[in-house]
Order: sequence, then C-alpha cells, then structure tokens
Amino acid sequence: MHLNISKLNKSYRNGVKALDNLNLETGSGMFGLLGPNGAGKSSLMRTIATLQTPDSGRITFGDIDVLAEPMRLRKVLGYLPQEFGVYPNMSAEDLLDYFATLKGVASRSERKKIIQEVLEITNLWEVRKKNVDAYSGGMKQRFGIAQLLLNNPKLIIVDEPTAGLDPAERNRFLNVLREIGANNTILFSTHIVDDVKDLCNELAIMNGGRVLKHTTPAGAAREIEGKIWTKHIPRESLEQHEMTWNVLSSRYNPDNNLSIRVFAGENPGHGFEYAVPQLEDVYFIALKNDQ
Amino acid sequence: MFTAIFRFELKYWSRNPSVYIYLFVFWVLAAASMAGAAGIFGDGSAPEDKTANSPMSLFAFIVFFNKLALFILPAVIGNALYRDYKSNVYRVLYCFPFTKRDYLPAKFSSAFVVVSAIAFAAGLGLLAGTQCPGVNAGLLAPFDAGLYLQLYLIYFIPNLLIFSVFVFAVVVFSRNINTGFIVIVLVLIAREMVAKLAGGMAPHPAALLLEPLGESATYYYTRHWTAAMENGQPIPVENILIFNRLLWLIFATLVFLATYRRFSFSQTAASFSVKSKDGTRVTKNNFGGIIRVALPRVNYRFSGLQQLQTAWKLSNTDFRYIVRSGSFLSILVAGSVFVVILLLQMNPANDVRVLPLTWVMLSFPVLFFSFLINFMTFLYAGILVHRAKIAGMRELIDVTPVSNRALLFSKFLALVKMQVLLLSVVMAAGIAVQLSKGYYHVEIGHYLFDLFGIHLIGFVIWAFAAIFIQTVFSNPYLGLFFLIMAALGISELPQLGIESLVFRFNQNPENSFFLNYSDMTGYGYFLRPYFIYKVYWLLFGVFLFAGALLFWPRGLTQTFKERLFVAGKRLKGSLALVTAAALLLFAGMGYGIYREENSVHGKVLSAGEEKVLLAQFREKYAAYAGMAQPRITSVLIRLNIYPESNDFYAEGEYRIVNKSGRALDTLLLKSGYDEITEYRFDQKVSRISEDVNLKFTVFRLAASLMPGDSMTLRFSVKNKPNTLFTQNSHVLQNGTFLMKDIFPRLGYFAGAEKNYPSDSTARNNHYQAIDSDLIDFEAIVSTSAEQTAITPGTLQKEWAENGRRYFHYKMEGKTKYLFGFNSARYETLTDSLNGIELKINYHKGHSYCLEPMMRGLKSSLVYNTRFFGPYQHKQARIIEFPLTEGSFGTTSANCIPISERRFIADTRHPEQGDIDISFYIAAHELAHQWWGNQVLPADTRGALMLTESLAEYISARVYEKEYGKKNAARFLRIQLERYLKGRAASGTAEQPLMYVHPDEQHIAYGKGAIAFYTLSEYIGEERLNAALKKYLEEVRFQGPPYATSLGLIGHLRAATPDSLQYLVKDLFETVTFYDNKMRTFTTTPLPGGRHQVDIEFEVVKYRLDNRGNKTVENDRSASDAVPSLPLADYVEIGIFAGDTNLYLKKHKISKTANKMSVVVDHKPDEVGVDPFLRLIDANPGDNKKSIWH
Repeated sequence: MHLNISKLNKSYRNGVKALDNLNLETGSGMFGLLGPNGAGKSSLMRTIATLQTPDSGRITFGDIDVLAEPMRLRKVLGYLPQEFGVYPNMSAEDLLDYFATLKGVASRSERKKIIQEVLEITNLWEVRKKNVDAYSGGMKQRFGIAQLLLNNPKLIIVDEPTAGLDPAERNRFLNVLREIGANNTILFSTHIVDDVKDLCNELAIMNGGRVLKHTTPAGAAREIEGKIWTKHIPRESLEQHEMTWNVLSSRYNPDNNLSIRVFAGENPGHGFEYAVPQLEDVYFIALKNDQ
Repeated sequence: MFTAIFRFELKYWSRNPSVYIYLFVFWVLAAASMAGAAGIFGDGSAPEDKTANSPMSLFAFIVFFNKLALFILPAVIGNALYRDYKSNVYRVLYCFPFTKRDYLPAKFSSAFVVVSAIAFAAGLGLLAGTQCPGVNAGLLAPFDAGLYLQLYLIYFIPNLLIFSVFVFAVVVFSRNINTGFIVIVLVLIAREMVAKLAGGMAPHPAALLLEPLGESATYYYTRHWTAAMENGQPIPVENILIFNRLLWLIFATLVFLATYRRFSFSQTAASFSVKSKDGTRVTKNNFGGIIRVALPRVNYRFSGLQQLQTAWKLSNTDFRYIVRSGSFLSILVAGSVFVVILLLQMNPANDVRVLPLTWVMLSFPVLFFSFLINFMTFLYAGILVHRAKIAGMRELIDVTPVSNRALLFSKFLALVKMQVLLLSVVMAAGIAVQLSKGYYHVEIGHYLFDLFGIHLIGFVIWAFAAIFIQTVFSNPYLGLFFLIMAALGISELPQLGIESLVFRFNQNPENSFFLNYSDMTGYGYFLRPYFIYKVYWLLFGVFLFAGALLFWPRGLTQTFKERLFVAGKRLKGSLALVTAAALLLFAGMGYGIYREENSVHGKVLSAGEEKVLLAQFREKYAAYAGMAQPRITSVLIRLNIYPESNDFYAEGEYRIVNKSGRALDTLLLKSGYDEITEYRFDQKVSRISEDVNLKFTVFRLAASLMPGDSMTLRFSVKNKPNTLFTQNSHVLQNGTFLMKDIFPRLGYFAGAEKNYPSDSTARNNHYQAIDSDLIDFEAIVSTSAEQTAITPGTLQKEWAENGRRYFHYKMEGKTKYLFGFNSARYETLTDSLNGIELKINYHKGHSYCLEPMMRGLKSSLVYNTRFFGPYQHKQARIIEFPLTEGSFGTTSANCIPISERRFIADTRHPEQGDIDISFYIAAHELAHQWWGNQVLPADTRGALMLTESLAEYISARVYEKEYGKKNAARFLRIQLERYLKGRAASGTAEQPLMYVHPDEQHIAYGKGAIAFYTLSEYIGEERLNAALKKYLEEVRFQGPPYATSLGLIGHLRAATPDSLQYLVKDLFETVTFYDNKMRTFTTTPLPGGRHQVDIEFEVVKYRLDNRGNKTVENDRSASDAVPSLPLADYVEIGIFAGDTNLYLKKHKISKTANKMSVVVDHKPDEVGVDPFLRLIDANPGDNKKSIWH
C-alpha cells in the first residue's frame, strides 16, 4: 500500500516550522528517512502516526485518509517512538497482553498465540516473565518491535530505532525489521546512513521540514558515480580546501591527517583520487545543496 | 553552593503557577471562613455567643487549615526532589560538584519556605476575614498578634515541619510523590486512632503525647470550657503539649538525619534493604539469526460491546497496579485496623456498648471510610489518568486503535473496583468483629445492600468527577487538591444559604441518612429520595465523563487552547448525543426535583426560614400571649394508622371547660405543623385571623363561654400527603410512634421565656401542657392486620374489621395530656409484681435486653413503692420504637415507649464496668410515675429537678442495689462528665439546679443526679428519701397551682443538719464548683506491717454568678492561699490499695492547703481527696494520685 503525504505543514509555538509544505510518497517495503537531528523526521512520523495534527496538508495510506480517520490507520499501524517507557513492575508478557487488548485482540487464546509469536520473533521468549523496565536497551527496543507487531500492522513507523544499540543488537534488529518489511510499508528514520544503505528500497533525505531528495540507495549511488573524490591532507589546509572545493566530509586518520571527500563533476586533480560513491555522500550533497 | 541551590529553587517555585493557586485558595478560604464565623452571611449564620477570632476559635481554624495544608506537602516538598528524578536531570545533576550537604538541606528548606508561605496565607486570610466589610463587630475581638504567633509557633509551623520531613524522607526513598500522599493519610489515620483513645474521660497521657498534631492535648484541656471561657481565655499550654511538640520535633529530626545519611547521589533510589544483593553474571547471545516472521492469524474486534469488554480487561491491569502497590496495601491495612478499633471500642467511655448488630457495624465506619475512599479515588484517578504519560508509554498506547472511551472507561472501572475492595474491608472487619464478640447473627445480605447497593453509588459519582477533573488538570496534584477542596466546600454550601440538593453535588438527602437504619423499619422513607438524587447526580457524572472524553489528551501534550479546540471537534456523533442527553436529562431532572422540593407539601423549611417565621408570628400575635382560654378536660381520639402508605387519619373530640372565671369569646387554636386539620364546633364561630405557616387560628365564638360552662371541640386530622421526597407523617411501615403534637392545642404557644417558680401565674400550668390539667383519655386506634396498636389506658376491646385491627383503650383515672400511639409487629414478654402487670412489647429478634429491662422495672417498682408510696396504674408497658424516631425513653401514663437503641445494648458484661443501660432506663422511666406523674411540676424553671434529677438519682440508687457501689460510681462519673461537657457546649449563662431550664438537660440529668446522690450520701439515703416522700405526699396530683422546686428545697433544708446546710446551697441553689486536688503523699512503713500516709491536698470552692463570673471571698491574708470561698466543708479522704478501701472518711476542711497523716493496715497505692467525686469538681482528673504517676 502506498503512503501519500502532500503539502504537510506544521509550526510549533516557539516559531519552529517543523514541516514545511512536505510531500512524500512511498510504496511498500522499507523506506528510510535520513536527516540530521532536528530535521523534522520525528514530527513527520508523529504526524503520520496520528499523534499530532498538522496545520495543513493531507496524508493517505491506501484508501485511508489518515487525518480524517485516525482510528482506521491505527488499526494497521505499528509505531515505535524514538524513546518510550513502560509501566514499571510489569513483565513483557503482561504488558504485551495489555497492548494486545488495546489493539483489539479480544480472544484470550488468540492473544496468547500472537504474544508467543512476537516474543519468539524478537527473541524475548526466555525473558518474557522479566519486568520490561529492567530490560537492557536492546531488549527494550526489541520489546518495542514486539508490541508493534501485535496488530499485524501494514504501516510500520520506527523512529531512530538503532540509536544506542550495540552492533549485534543493531544487526538483529535490522534483520527483524527487514523480515517484516517484506510485505508491509515501513517508514524508518535514522541519521545513521549505513542503516539505510542495505535495507531500504527507497529513501528520502530531510532537513528543515522538507524532503531534500527522494531516491533509492542504488539510484543515488549511480547518480554520483565518478563525482566523488578523496584526498589526504594535513589538518592545517582544511580551510583552504573547503574554500576551493565542495568538501562533503572530512575525517581524521590515525596519523592525524585528514581524509576529505569532495563532490566534483570531474577529477579536480591536485592529488584527488577517485572514490567509490557512498550513500553518505548523497546525504551530504543533499544537505549542502539546501544551505 | 547551598545558597545557589536554595536561590535556584525559590526562583523555580516563584515561577510555578500552582504555588500561586495554593496561596490564593488558602487566603480566600481562610478569609471566607472567618468572615462567615463573624456573621457576614447575615443574622443567624454564625453562632451568636461565639467570638469568631477568640483564641479557641482561631485555634480551630488554624488546626483545620493545618490539616488541609498537609495535602499540599507532597506536591511541594516531595516535588522538590521528585522533579530531579522525573526530568532525568538527576543523572546529570548528581555528577555536579556539590555534596548532599548542600543539596538536601537546600532542597528541603527552599520547599519548606514555600509551604510556610502558604501557611501564612491562611493566617493573613483569617485576619482579612475579620476586616471584611459587613461582618458583625460584636462577634470579633481586637486583633491579637501574639495569639497568631502562638498558634503558628506551637501548631502550624511545627506540624508542617514534622510532616514535611516525613514526606521528604518517603520521596527520597520511593522516588514517588504519591507515596507522600499515602504517608500523610497513614499518619492521619494513626492520629485518628490515637485521638480516639485520647478522647475518653480519662485518656492515657501517652495518647495525648503521641498525637502528632498536638490538637488532642489542647482539646482535652479545654473540653469543659464554656463559651465565656472560650471567648476569653488563652490557649492553655500544658506541659504535655510541650512534651508532645518536642517529642515529634525530635522524631522528625531523627527521620531527617536518617534520610540524610542514607541518601546518596546514585541512579537507584536510596533504600533500606534487608537482603544482600547477589548478582549473577549475564551474557546474551550476541549472534542473532534470521527468523521468519509469520504472524498467526488472529481476529481484531472493535464493536461497541467489545469495547466494554476491552475496558473491563484493561481495567484489570490498572486495578492490579493499584492493589499491588505498597501504598495501597498500607492504606488497606491501616484502614482495616482502624475500623476494627473503631468497632471494638465504640466509645465505651461515655456511652454504653451496643451489640455488634450488622447495621451498627455498618454505621460506625461510614464517615471515616467515606473520607478514605473518596481520597483514594481522587488520588488514584490522577495516578491512572496520568500514568501512561509518567511512564513514557503514552505514545505507544495512543497509536493503538483503542477508543478513548474504552481507555478512559477502563480507568473509571479500575477506580470503582478499588472502591468495591475498600468497601469490602468494612464488611470483612464488621463480620470479624461480630464473630469475635460472639455475635453470630451476621446479615450478609444487609452488608451487601448497604455497602454496594447504597454507598457505592455515591463513590461512583465521585469517581466520574475525579476522572473529569484529573483529565482536565494536567497537574495531578493540583487536581487532587482541587477535588479535596471541592469535597470540603460542597458540604459547607448550606452555610452559604445554598440548601437545595439540586445544587449540592452528590450530597445525601439527610445528613444522618446512613445512621438512620432501624431493624424495625429498615431504611424507611429516605431510601427513595436517596436513589432519586443519586440517579440525578449519576446523570451529571455521565455528563462529566463525556466531558472527560472531550478533553482526554490523545497524542502529544497540547496547550489548553488546543485541547478546547480538539474538544470542540470531538463533540459530534454519539459522543455529542450522549453529552447532550446526559445534560438534558440532568437539567430536566434537576428542574423536576427543584419543583418537587419546593412544592406545597414537599418544601422543607431551613432553620433560618423557620426562625424568621416564628419572629414574624410573635410580632403579629403578641397580643394573644397570656389570654385566658378554656381548658381541655377530656380527650377522645379515633385514630387510623395506615402503615403501608405511611398515612394516618384521626378524628378527635375535646371537652373544653371555662375555668377562668370570666366569659371567654376567643379561641386560640394551634394545629399540627405537618398535618391538615379541620375543626367542627357545636356552635357558630367566626375565623378572625390565621397564620398558615405556623397553623395558628383565632376563632370568635358567637356565644361566649361562661365561667364553668363547657363545650365540645371536634376535629379531624390527617397528615399532609407524602411526596416523592418528604414523608409528612411519622407513620412507618413498622414501628410507628405518633406523638401528641399531631393534634390541635389551645392557647398562645410561642411564649419565649420560662418563668421562675416564684411567678404565680406560671404555676397555673403544669410543665407539659399549657391548655389542660389532668384529663380523661380514651382512644380507638386501628392499624394493619399484622400490627398491634398501643396507647395509654387499659385495653377495653380488640376486634378486626375490613382486614384491619382495632384497639379500644380507656384511661382509668385521670392523666396528663401526654400520650403517644405506637403500632408495630410486636412480640411481648409479660410478667407481674404485686398484682401489677409488667409487659414489654418488642421487635422480633430484639430479645437481648428484655431480662435486664424487666428487672429494671421490678427493682424500680420495689424501690419507689417502698420509699414513696403506691404505683397508680395496674400495668406498666414498655413499647419499643425505632431509633429513627429518637434514642430516648419517655413515660406517658402506663406506657413507657423506649427507643430501639436501648434494646440492643450490650449488657452482657456489667462486671467489666459496662453500664446496663436497659436496666437503668426501665428503672428511670418507671420512677417518673412518682416524679412527673404523681408530682406534677409547674411550667417554670426548675421543673426538671422534680422529674429528671430525681428519676436519675433514684435509678442510680436502684442501679447500685443491683450492681454494686463501684458500678454506680461509674454511672455518676458519667453524669459529671455529661454536666461538664454540656455546660461547655451551651452558651448561655448557667442556672442553678433549682432553676434549671427545660433545655438544660446536662444540668437536669447530669448535675441533678449528683446533687441528690451526694446529699443522700451526706445526710443518709433513708433520710433524704423520707424528705422526698414527705414532699411527694404534700403535692401528690396537686394542681393548679402546681408544684415547684422551691417547695422541695424547703423539705431538703428541713432534713439537713445545720453543719451541712451549705450543701443545699451549693448543689441546688447556686452554681458552685470545687477544684479539689491531691498534691502529694508519702508512705512510711511502721512496725507490724502498718503504714503511715502523709497527705497534702488542696480544697478550693468557688461560685459562678448568673453571668458566669467567678466569685470567691478570700479572707485570708496568707499569700500562698488559692482564692476560694470560705470553707467549713466535709470532704472525703480515701486511701486505697487496689480495689480495697484502706481508709475512707469525711473530714471537715476549713482551709485550702491541707496536710494530714493517716495510719493504715496495708501499703496503699492510691490516695484521693473526694475520690468518688461526690462534690461537683471542675477538674475531676486531679483528685487522685497513685504511686504509679
């Protein structure tokens, strides 16, 4: 099913324009939302998740007019916010039972069945009797996925889910997400470019409440093939390079020199060498163009 | 660093709007209360003889606001710390370079400054209240800064400090503000328990010491204070109060120090842990595999019915959360313990023990539990409504497809489940107490109906309101405070002149509704209005719930404006329909109820309205006061009682005779207030004037009634029709007790002042009738087939007709115009003594006290016959009537109606000092056949000395013969307390016993019993009784002129030797007090096991003039002497070892400070001056000293 967002606007009372005439369309599969902190990703996701109302605009998911019929969307929605807590002193099993009830699973045996399944999917079955508020960060995040799955959602929104996870947890988490994403629409925000690279069918780069670029990981790489160049420079000459070339990123090497990447139509010479384009470059180009 | 944090905190608070709300509310409330007490709401809205800002009044105000302020402590003191946890600032904050030496004291003291400011707002409010324009200056004393200072320094500030420390400590350890509230409630419950124990006649000093607010000690020392003393005297600061304050302050300091020591800047809450923590090393599988996601197919349902089920299911989670929390459990345990204490104790100190009947078990804890359940509802409504937000789980919940109504309703359901659980505690405690007392008639059905059929509705309505308020308020502590204020405020509405229940949220039609259950009639007529009003407020509750749904925040926190906007958008479809329907039904029903309340037969006048009407009447009809009237000489009544419909119809016939010596042409008739009366004259009359409010009619006779002539006055009387809410008759389904006030009477009834016995015209009437002397009485009473009707007289005939029973009674000989009509399904117990039939008509099942009651009749009959002559009737019939009609006993001719309450007394253990009230009341009432029916006192002051005082004295003597001296002494001790408490409560200047006013029961009964008993102890029982008999024979059945107290005083003086004449003056003719006090005693062992006891004691006597001023004549020059009247008095000195009297003798005392040496056979453990309180002692507590303290 398609998620369609058009002309979405939202301003906060402090004057920040979180969403600025935003348009976006996704198909099924995983959709990555890239952007720096404060880009408006969370605002967008909360708005889609019916948690806040935009000042204007329209959102549809399949045949659901989200703003007019939030309840219909909620039935097919799985949402995992960036940060969440749970009722203290309740086990995963009890909490999931609570969520399953909230999500309309009326029969006790069916609740039991689906809770067991989501616990196994998220590898929490062994610790289902433990209190969730005592879980580690990764377990808690997996619990977040478990509760999200209970209503067999068609649209899944996860807001920076991998932040703070160790590599193994992150890996496992992304696998689960990918597995679910096979048949559903997953909107997935992150500022970690690598998360998007391998998993997402499509991606959008956001900043300042707008979509700067809407593309696919492969398409994006193709677009800049042969336009990314790299060079090792001493720290002192960074400013001079930045003035001369379009420096996308700079990174320290162990020898205290810098590796810089620049965006240029053809080889700029001066010691620059060809670099294999990375998604990150697309990201920085998009942000830079927006400035 | 301390100052930096301190300043930062104060700045935080100064920007917090809730602080200003608290300040404002306390100020306004205090100002309004004070202005109200000072009469700003008009005449009669404030007690007339109480100075609004007297020391005691201010004390009461301060204590009240003190208790109220306790409920903001968690929100302020607790919040100071909690804020840092909640915002997760603590993770950062705790790494800062300050120590807990700066942090904790700064946090605490800054929050305490805020709390103190709120406390001072109350004081400033009180002060402002005295300055309000429109207050009655006569009710105000000049401003006394020292008094305010004293009250703040002794009570308000220390109490706040003590409780603040508790709250602070609890929040440090639990990191939860709600626990702070729970601790406040727990301490208050504990306080109630201690106060209960401290409230008796002789409380244990420990109870006064341990009461955390210091209030009990002060109330204890002022419990005998009269209005004059309250207005004039400073608050007593006794040692025990100082120790109390010190004790609690020290305790609080220790708690603070302990908290301080245990506190650490760590990520987990400080705690006292018993178990040592054993950790196990945990590793997880770090290499996740790929899983196939194939979610099982399940059904998702969202139908209307399903939503209800969902709500129910969800509520279980919330309910489990409530029940599992330590806070709730501790309240549950404390509440149960308190209820059990309450039920076990039931005030044995000044009343009698009642059998643990089911309704008794239900009525005692009602007040306390209402408070507790409402508070828990308010608190947990806030917790449940805000729980998801606080836990950070709101977004997860808000995106689920659960409807707002299912979600919010689940929280409401959880609250109701909690209420049901708390109510079950009452039931469990009640049953446990019943069984433990060996009472096995447990009425489970009654428990269930009373708790869950009646009480629960009121709590449910509050639950709706609490959900609404807590939803609208985004700060749950402010919401809680608002709800508490609302609950308190609503109960005060009548004081502001808002009396209609249409405007008083969730109030009961009758304040004492829950105490008005009777085994005889059940809940009676009040049940219907109760349910009607509850349905009415339930509709409002539904409306509030719909309102809560409109404002329920779903999604991100919004401003109030946004929420209003959202609410407007939500107001459509079924929700709009429900909101509108609930509001319309509520308003419509309110209109209907209001009309019904104010309908002709439904209107209940307020006390103020009645007062105005009476004043208007007096003004208009003053000319008729004292107008001569014919007198009723015979009465014939035909009364039909219809228990099923709570109606009666009566026809009556008075023979009235002109005894005045002048021709009379005007008849003044006053008919029953709640009745519809029609008169039929056997001659032509014209109606001159009529007061419809007070049912007073003036008739002019066409032909004057000549001296000595008589005429017949016929009338019919029926009750005003009963309305939906008001029962206009006293006819009950079972246990009707109609009194003479339903029938018309002759004459001007509104005479304001009682005359003194020296007034000769006042002696023309006896004390219970203004229009008749002794009369002939005959009545035919009918009732339903299964009931028996009883009225004074001898049963002539009984028959059945039209499915009803008829009883014809006729009085042999003459009687006072004083009769009642009882009708109920009675069981009877019959006995006889000396040819007199003794009969008890009682409610089936109420056979607990029949034996002592019958014994009381017999003993009294024997005693009175022996000392005062024969009994004038052939029977004496006790008739039980429901306690809804009163808790008294009374006597009319051969009938003695006695309240149900006296039939359920626990008289099983008189040896433990329980007063056998059933025995006693039977003895007392029978004594009235001599003192009240043979001696007929005139309608003057002092009348009750001839009736009640003597009946009390005689029953004390009869009691003593049955149960021994010790129990009689206890009985008299209760009488002394009754007198001292009664005079403290009554505002008027006190009269001596011989001029006792009919309203002054504490003098007539309490002081009267002691006066006659003491005189009999000093001059001898036989000698006093002989004097009484002489007087009785002189005035037997005499009147007019009727007997007065002055005549009896003459006989008492004649029987009293010269040396004791002062007793008659002290006890009967003046208001005289002793203040006897045991100073010290020492014992020295003598050879042969004997002991010499050296005693120092004080005897002081003073008198109050008719304005209440103390008079003493101190003619001694000795500087150490305490002011006293001159003494030549005989005072008992007693020396005791356990229960044995080692020495008991009256000594002639002539000075205040006394020393004495006595040798006794054993080692004494207690010595007393006037140990048995023969003399009326203003401070009965210090007459004895034991070696133990």
